[in-house]
Amino acid sequence: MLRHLIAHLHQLLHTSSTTSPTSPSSSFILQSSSLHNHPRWSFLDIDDNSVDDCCGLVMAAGKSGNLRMVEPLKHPSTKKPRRDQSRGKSSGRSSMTEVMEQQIWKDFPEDLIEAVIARLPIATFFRFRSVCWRWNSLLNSPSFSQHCAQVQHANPWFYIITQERANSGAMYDPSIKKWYHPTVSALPSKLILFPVASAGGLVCFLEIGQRNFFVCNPLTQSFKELPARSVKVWSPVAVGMTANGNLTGAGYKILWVTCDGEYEVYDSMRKSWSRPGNMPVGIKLPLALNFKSQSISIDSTIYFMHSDPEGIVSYDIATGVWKQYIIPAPLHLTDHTLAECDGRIMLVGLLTKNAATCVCIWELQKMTLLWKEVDRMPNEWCLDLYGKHIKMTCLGNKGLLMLSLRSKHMNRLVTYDIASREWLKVPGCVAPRGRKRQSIACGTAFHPCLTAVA
Amino acid sequence: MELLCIRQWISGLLPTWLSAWCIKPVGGALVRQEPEYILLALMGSPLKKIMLCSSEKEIFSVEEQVMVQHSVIINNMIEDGSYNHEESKIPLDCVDSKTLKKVIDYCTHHTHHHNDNQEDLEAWDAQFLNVDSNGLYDLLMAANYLEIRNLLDLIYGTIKNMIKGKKIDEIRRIFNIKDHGFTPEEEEQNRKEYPHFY
Repeated sequence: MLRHLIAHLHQLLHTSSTTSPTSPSSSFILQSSSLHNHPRWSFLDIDDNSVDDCCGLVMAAGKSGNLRMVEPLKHPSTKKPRRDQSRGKSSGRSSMTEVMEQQIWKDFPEDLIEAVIARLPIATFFRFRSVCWRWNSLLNSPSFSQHCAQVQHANPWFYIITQERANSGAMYDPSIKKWYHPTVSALPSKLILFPVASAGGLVCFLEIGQRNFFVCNPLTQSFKELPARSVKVWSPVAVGMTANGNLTGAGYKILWVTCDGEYEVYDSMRKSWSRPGNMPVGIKLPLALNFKSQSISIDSTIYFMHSDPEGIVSYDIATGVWKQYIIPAPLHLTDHTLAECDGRIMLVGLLTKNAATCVCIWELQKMTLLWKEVDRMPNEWCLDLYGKHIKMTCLGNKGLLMLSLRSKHMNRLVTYDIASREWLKVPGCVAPRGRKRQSIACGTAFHPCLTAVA
Repeated sequence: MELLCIRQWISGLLPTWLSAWCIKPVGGALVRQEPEYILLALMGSPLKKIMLCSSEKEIFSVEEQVMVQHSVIINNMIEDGSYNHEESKIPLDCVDSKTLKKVIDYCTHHTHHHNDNQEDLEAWDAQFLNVDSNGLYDLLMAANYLEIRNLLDLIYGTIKNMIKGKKIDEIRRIFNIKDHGFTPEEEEQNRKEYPHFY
């Protein structure tokens, strides 16, 4: 009897569906955007399931009369972060050449071509500038600038200065694991400039004498020397930088601060430095700023690391408010630096205990203001550090970290993707026509943006 | 005779029983339902459909939520009230039936499968774009017209992959750029400006 019922049910279902069973547009699946629920539907195919299961289904309902019959099936969330999308993706098209030979592309609309060009790899873009004058002048085009703003680059690039050639830099593209060595530096070659911060595709450099600031787009090498600061300050400064928005014309702000609590903000729209006020009384001076750690910026707030008391001091450029957070540092920690990923504040540092050294990653728990260890370097790699006196330098702290691990006989570079928790080795930075791996003095990560103008 | 009556009685009641047990027929399969959705279903069907009309005057019925999620143009039309669910259809005179069906397939798949594995989604997208150049071009124009951001990004990415390995002469030929205005000396000048990228 039950078997007949199931068969009848099956028949009814087939006759009741208005379009073919395979067409997704005929489904009644409810998707309510306001509920923000994952669709927790699952298809129970009568054909595949044994009749006994179905009987169970029917019987249970009959017995309890309960509306909630089955447990919700959760889809395993194995979603990879979006930044991995472009990594190692092959188009899988076997007839690419044939497709491009068609006449159809000859009438391709101009603005759509710009959208495609904005997505080309950086090196390819520079090569294709010679296609025609129009493509050559795209760097100055506002419409192209908008297209560039819409492109999400998976990874930041890194700009570094080596100890061997301190007055010229190199760039690293982690997506294709390639180093670029600009032979002609746009920046004044007589000066030694250190990259100290970056935002909106621009890198802020500080001259070795800590007097003058320069802002540069490392890709196009357009640069600008900022006007002199209004206060002649001789003590070391910590620098932070924020972008005013996503569009390249929106501008940027640069903040410098000293241990004495002196600070100034540069506004690129006004092209001048200003002193918004004094440090609040609650913050104990002098500030023991940790100059080895780079600052991070999340929205309009810049965070600096300080020791004694251990923690973070932050400045909101929009509101002009300074805040201090006392956060105890993990034990046995050296060479630590702040990092950020999608609004999360992280800490990366060397943990040395009894000659065993490991690189560890902590995340700040905002509710308790404590560091919680979330990852560490794989054991096999940590073994290479055993018993050695290691110095670690963080060369980029935005989402993708680049770490330089150096000892007397070791010069290693690794990257760590905070979102995907992936550790990768980095090919050594070798000067053109050279063979030896160079020692990296310092560096910063920047988001590659062709149209960012200092 | 009696058996027939019983069968008819059961078949008449079956849909009611099924909905009470929160099982809905979906294209030949049974679908389990969450309690929250049952409540919504009992309140009346929130699953609105909208009508899209292709350039060949063919009407396609599609869930409103699906198109509103993906197409900025359609979302704006629904939000500003210019679309009346009872009577009107949205005319899409620059999209033919074949392309419109594909666009609807894309939006529907991505709405219903947005929680899937990234690799599965990418594989589906690659299969989806396995079309000839005319089809790809039409899809691009339709996605541009309807302002479907993720489909546009996908197609741009595909075209970018097609051209990124090509030589400059080939690019000029493909896009019919006749008067490029570059002398060989000027090309060399460009190369010298950023030699590390070549």
